[in-house]
Amino acid sequence: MVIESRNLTLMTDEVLKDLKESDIVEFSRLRKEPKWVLERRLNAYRYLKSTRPDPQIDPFLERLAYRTIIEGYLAPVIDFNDAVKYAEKIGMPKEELEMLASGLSVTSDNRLLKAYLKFMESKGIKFSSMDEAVKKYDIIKDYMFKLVTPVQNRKFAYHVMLWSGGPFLYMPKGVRLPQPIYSIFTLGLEGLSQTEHTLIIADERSLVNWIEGCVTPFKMNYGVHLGALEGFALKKSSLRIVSISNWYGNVHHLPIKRLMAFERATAELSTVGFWAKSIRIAPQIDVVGRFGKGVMQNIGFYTKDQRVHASPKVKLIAEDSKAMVLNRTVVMDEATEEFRGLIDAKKGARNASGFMSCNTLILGDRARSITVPGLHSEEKEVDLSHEASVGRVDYEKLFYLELAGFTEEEATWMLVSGFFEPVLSKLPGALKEEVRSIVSLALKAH
Amino acid sequence: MTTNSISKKYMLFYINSVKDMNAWAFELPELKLENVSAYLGDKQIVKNFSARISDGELHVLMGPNGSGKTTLVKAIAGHRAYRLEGKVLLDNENISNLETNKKALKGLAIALQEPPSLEGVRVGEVLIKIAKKFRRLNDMEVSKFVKDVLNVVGLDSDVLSKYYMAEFSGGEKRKLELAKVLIMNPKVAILDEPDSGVDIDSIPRIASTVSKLLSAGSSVLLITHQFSLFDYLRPKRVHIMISGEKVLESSPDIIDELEKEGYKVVKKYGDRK
Repeated sequence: MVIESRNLTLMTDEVLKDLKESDIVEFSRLRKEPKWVLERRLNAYRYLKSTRPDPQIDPFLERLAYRTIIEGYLAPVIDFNDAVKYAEKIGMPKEELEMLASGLSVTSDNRLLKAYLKFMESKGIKFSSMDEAVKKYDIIKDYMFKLVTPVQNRKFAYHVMLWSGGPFLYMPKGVRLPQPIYSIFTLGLEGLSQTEHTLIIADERSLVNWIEGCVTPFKMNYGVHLGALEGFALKKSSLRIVSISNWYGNVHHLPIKRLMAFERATAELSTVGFWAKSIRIAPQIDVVGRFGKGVMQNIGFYTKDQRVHASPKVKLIAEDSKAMVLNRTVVMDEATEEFRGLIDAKKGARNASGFMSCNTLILGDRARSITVPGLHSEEKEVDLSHEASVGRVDYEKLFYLELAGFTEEEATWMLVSGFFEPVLSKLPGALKEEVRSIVSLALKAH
Repeated sequence: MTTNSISKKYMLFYINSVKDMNAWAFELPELKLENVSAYLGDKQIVKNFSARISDGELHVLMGPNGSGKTTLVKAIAGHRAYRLEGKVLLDNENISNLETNKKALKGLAIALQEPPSLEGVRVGEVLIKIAKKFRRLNDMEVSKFVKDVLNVVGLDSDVLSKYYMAEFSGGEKRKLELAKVLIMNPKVAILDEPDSGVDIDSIPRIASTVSKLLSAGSSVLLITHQFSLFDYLRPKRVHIMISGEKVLESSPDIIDELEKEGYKVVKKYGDRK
């Protein structure tokens, strides 16, 4: 695989906004992508050129150079030995890494992993990197960029234009795999943006539990995570996704998460967010099938001068559809959180019901939280409700634990981890303990 | 002076044999309250309360509702809402200005009457952490130890996996508090109405828990309204508090009269004095 050095210099020196259409074509050609992928990239490119900059998105991306693209192309996979080094840095046991390695963002000659992949293949499960998948599987064409469209907004457009790598999973009809599938994304180079695209299709009556983690192996001066996840829960299937992010250094976390639930299907998205310089997320679940269910849960632990904007949304489009949004966050130091959740029942969503609960715990005097739960309905027979609270740690509880010999700090952490428990306990069995231990590790590390 | 449990047992044997003697060969844990006043804002709720709870004895504090008993307890423990004046001496060391958790580590354990519910926190997690703090036990021993203690207070060990307080009835909460105090192996335990809201069958159980504490060498101050407890326990002294003031300290002989006539006997006793 030879890349002309001329291209490399050209691409490294220029910044994103000077990108030309021919660069995109060249990039796609080097990647040997099918034509339809290039078309989507160009759509996105043209959309970006024809719209005004979005002050919430563009400033993060302007500092990124073409390097983003070229690096993404040159190194879409990470060598297993590198991964081991990363794992040591972030304190992850090797056995765990072997499990995580199945995310296929990592190549490995591990036997266990190979056996596992063979098992998946025998079930008809399609699991590969997106780069390969777009060339290999026709089914992708019907789903990819259907939820994350190139022309919805500038954030989506940037992603579609720049995406590279990421995993693809297709769970065939009736195949139920309760063991979670792990994937891990790392930002491996300074000044990079991570633009992986994840596509998960849970076909009829199937079951998927997916855990993805985003980490940086070293402290970064600047990085952007602009990854996207598209998930489809087809008829009577169950798609559960847990996304954990904990960055190191100045990484801006701007992921795109879009799920769709069809008839009697459950689409569940749980996000666990720790450090990132700033977080701006607007995950969305569309419930388009009757008796479909969209569940969105978030645990956040925001510290230092972190800025967080979260606006999760569940759109109820079909009759008898259900929505649940749970948000539990702890804000401390000088962190600021703005939460604007929305359950939106569209015309035709008769008998739909939705519940939103957002609770924030504020530690210290300088942390801030704005919580705006939103319920919207265009139908009459819809049952939507919400509860919200923003408060400090109850002194009576601290006092009680101090009576038992715990210091104020110990008591606070016990209460904080307990505060997350209502969300953790709602996660499906296999994921529950995993996430619980990750959260407690992160709290301990704090 | 710190005492380990073996010497405490020996001492108890000794105490039993020399009960009512004034001279002591050993020093036993002692909580001395000297002119303790508690304020909520500017309002004085407890006025100049003095008492000496010592020598592995059981003392009882009684008084009508709203007389300031719970306030006294919380103020001694160092609750932020109350301002404490006077001295709290534990083994002759003034602990009144120590932080709440330091007091606990020094050997003062308090069972609250109304423990708050701790959302999402599991009983097992808390009790095991307490046991690790106060007892020198390894991971294997600790969970067995905690289960044994739960057994003593009359709770099933399946409570360990439940969330703290939220899933418990009032009576169960009180029992958990007793378990906590037992685990803490304190020098002095203050039990704030461990008997309120528990079923009749549990009264002997609470009494036996208190005896257990005493036999382990702790001095106990018990706040109660339940006279049926005295079928099982014989306190050394009875302190009576009305409107924030200690009006009487008496031998347990007063209990029968108190049960029959209520707090008006206090006046009679006062006259007799």
